[in-house]
Amino acid sequence: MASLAPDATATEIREPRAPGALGAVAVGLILPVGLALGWEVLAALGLVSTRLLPPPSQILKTLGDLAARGVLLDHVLATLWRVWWGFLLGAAAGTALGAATGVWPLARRLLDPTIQALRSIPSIAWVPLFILWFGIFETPKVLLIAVGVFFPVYLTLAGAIASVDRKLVEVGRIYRFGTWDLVRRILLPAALPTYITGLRGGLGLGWMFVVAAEFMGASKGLGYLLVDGQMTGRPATILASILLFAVLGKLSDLALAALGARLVRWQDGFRPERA
Amino acid sequence: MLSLEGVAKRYPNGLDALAGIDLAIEPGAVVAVVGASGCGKSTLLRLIAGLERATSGTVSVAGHPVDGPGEDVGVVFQEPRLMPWLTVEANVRFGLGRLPGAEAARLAAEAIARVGLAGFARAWPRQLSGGMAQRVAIARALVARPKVLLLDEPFSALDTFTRRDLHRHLLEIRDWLQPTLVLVTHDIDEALALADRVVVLAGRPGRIAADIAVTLPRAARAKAPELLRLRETVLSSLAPPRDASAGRGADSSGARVSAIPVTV
Repeated sequence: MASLAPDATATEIREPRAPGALGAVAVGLILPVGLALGWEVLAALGLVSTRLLPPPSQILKTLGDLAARGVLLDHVLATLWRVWWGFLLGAAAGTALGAATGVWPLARRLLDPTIQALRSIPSIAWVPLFILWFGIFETPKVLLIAVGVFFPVYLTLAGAIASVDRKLVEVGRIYRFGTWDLVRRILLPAALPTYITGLRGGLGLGWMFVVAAEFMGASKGLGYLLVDGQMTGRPATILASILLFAVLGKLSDLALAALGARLVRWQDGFRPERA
Repeated sequence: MLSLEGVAKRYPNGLDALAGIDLAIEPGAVVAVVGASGCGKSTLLRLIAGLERATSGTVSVAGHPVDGPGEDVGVVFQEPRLMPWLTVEANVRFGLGRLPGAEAARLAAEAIARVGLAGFARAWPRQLSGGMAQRVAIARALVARPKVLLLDEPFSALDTFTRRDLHRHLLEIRDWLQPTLVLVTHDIDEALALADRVVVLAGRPGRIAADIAVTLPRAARAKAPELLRLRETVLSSLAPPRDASAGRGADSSGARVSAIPVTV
C-alpha cells in the first residue's frame, strides 16, 4: 500500500510493482522439474519399469516425433479450437442468464429452479442426445464443453450480483439510477471479482469436458491422442497428451487470471508481504 | 426549504420509528438532529432523502412533496460508500448523471479541491484513510450543487482530530454553497459546535422533544460558558421523562421550543 503523505502533489499514487514475477515462476517450477528429474533418475537406474511408466525424456521424445511428423500442432489446435468456442458459448450464456436472474427477481423465480435441476444432471449424460441431434462432428463437442462451462459461470455471477452490498445499491437510488444504470454502474462492477473466479472455474471445466468430448469419437485432438495411445499400447503418447493438457490448461488460466487482475486492480484484497 | 407536517413512519415489520413530527427548516440553516440510537433520527433523514416514504403526513423539499430521491438533495451516509472500482474523481462524478464530460470534470475537480483532496483525484478508495474517504463522499454529495445536504452520522467512525478537520470542511462548504444542512448525530458537542439549531428526538416512536436555537457565533463556541448550559438543556431533553404519560402529553401538544439567545 502506497503511503499517502499529506503534501503529496503527484496526481497518481503509484503502487509498488508486483514483486519479481520471474522469481515466482521459478519457485513454482521447483516441484514439477524436481519430480521429473527424480523420475528420470529412477528410470535410468532401472528401479521403475519404463515400459509402463516411460521417463520424461521418452515423453519429450514422443512429443518431438509428433511435432516432426507435423501432427502435434494439428492435435493441439483442434483441442484449443473446441475449448475456445465451447468456453465462449458457455460463458456467454452463463453471463446472460446469471445477470438476468441476479438482477430481476422474476427471472430468478422463473429460471433458477429449472437451471438448478438441469445442473444436477451429469453433463456427460447429454452426450448420446447431442450425438443424435448434432451428429458426431464438432457441434456436439463444442456444445458439451459449453454445458460444462455454463454452470459455474451462471452460478457465480447470479450469486455475486445477489450479494452486492445493499449500501452501494442505495447510492444508486440516491442518483435515481434506472435498472440499466444500476446493472452497468454498480451491480456488474461490484460482482466482477467473483465473476472472474467463476470464469476461471468454467474454463477449468471446459478443459475437463473437451477430453470427454474427444473420447466421443474424434480423429484429431489431445483427447484422441489419449485414446490412440491406449489402443496402440504406448503410454508415452498418453503421458505426452496429459502433459500438454496440463501446460495448455495452466497457460489459458494464467491468461484469464491476468486479464481479470487488470480489470480488478482496484480490489482491496489480501496481499501477503513477500517473505 | 424543508418541511415535515404530521409525519409518522411505521415500518412493514410493525416498528414505529417516528410519530407526529412537525418541522420546518429555512433555507441555508444548519440543523443538527440528535437523539439516542433507535429514536428514529436516521429514519427522519431517509424520509427527507426520499429513500423511505412516510406512513402519514407530508415531507416536502423546496415546496415539492418528496416521492423519491430528488436532485435537490445530496446525502452523505455514515460510511463513505465509495465505489471501490472507481478512482476518487470517478466516484465524485458518479453524482453528476449525464453531464457533458468537460463540465463534469470541472465540477468534480472543484468539489475535490473544496474538501482538500486536490492531489488525490486518481487514487483508489482503498488507498484513502477513513477521513479522506468520507471527504470524497462529501464531495460526491455536493458536486451537483444540491440545495439540501443531508448527513447521517457522517463523522461517527472517525477519531477526534479527523472529526474536527471534517467539521472545518463542512463549515467551509456551508459558506461556499450555502446549502440547507441537516446533520444527524449522537454527539451533542458536535451538534452544538456546528448547528444553529438542535432538534432533539426522543422516545419510541421518536418525537421532537426539544428544538433549541444556538445563536452563539461559531468561532466563540469552543470556550463559551453558555455552551455548557445548552449542553445541559439538550441532555435533559434526551433523558426519559419520569412520568411517561406526562411526557407524552407535553409532546403531543407540539414540540417544546426553548430558544436561548446569547450575545458575546
